[in-house]
Amino acid sequence: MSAKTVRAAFVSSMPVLMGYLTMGMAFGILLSTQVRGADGLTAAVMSFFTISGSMQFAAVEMLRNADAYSLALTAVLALVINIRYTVYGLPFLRTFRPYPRPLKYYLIGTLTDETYAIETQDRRRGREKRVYLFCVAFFDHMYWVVGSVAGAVLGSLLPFDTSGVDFAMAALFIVVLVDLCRDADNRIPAVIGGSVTAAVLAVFVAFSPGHVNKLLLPAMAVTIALLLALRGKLQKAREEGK
Amino acid sequence: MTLHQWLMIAVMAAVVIFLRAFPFLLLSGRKKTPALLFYLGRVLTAAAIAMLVVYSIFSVIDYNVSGWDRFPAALLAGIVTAGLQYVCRNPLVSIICGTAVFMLLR
Repeated sequence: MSAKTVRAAFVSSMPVLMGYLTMGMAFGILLSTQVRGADGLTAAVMSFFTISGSMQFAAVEMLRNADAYSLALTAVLALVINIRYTVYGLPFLRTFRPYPRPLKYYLIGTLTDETYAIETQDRRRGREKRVYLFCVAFFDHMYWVVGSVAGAVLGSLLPFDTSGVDFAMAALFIVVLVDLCRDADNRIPAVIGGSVTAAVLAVFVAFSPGHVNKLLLPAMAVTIALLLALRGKLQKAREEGK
Repeated sequence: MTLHQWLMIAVMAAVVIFLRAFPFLLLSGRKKTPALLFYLGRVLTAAAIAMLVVYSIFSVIDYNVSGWDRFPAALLAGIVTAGLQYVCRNPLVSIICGTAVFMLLR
């Protein structure tokens, strides 16, 4: 393994180092302060196997109200929140083929937004490329796990008043949404998802305020139905925009 | 942490791994993604995140305890977060400032 390639992979992963350590810590702090009994081990298991910020921040909310989430609902929500991952593998269908099987599975399992972004930019060839891609995936994965565990430990050590800190979760989703909406194609879907949820929320508050925590599934169903109904228009708008 | 919570964690991880593996399982022979799936992949992320924004803002105001009392603080904190992110593009700054605004005003 060439040290130069490993070093190049490390340099490429530096922005992710900053991002994942801080985001991972935010996740760990939230998890350990919001979910009773969650600690560094919980954070380590979640971050090692899931490696998805959007999934894990939503998971904090779901684990906190675990009674409201059956395993089936958990699976549906996980599917919907992470559906974008189904397209991330497409550019790598061939690239990953020459790897030994366990490494290939590792590379598939570690395709996060950021790792995907770095790996699709790479122009190396042959063995150099294989080493590079593996190192980027591995480094990013480790930053995420280390950040999460550090956050969870910190969250359980510091007895500070955390009431209101759960807004950080809402803030994270807002940040992601603002960045997504820089792309005009995402604006109409965002408006649909937000307004459908607000409407379903209003219905729940009016008729059954005790069950508001169950609103995501109906809201998701209506949103998907609307997006499918509007498919023709949304795709046309995109083609005209290009 | 209950058994149910651990099972939820396992289900979430399994779904995410399945989604990442999906194209490799299904399409390694084919050239094109099914159009419907590709479309949903494109539009669903923004819709789902917008949904989570609305839902998580509603959850932090703790409606069943204090009604809409905390809604103005949450709304203002949300606007601060979005505004900072739009201008500065620094997620950490936006999240910390927005959260601080909410903690101070609630």
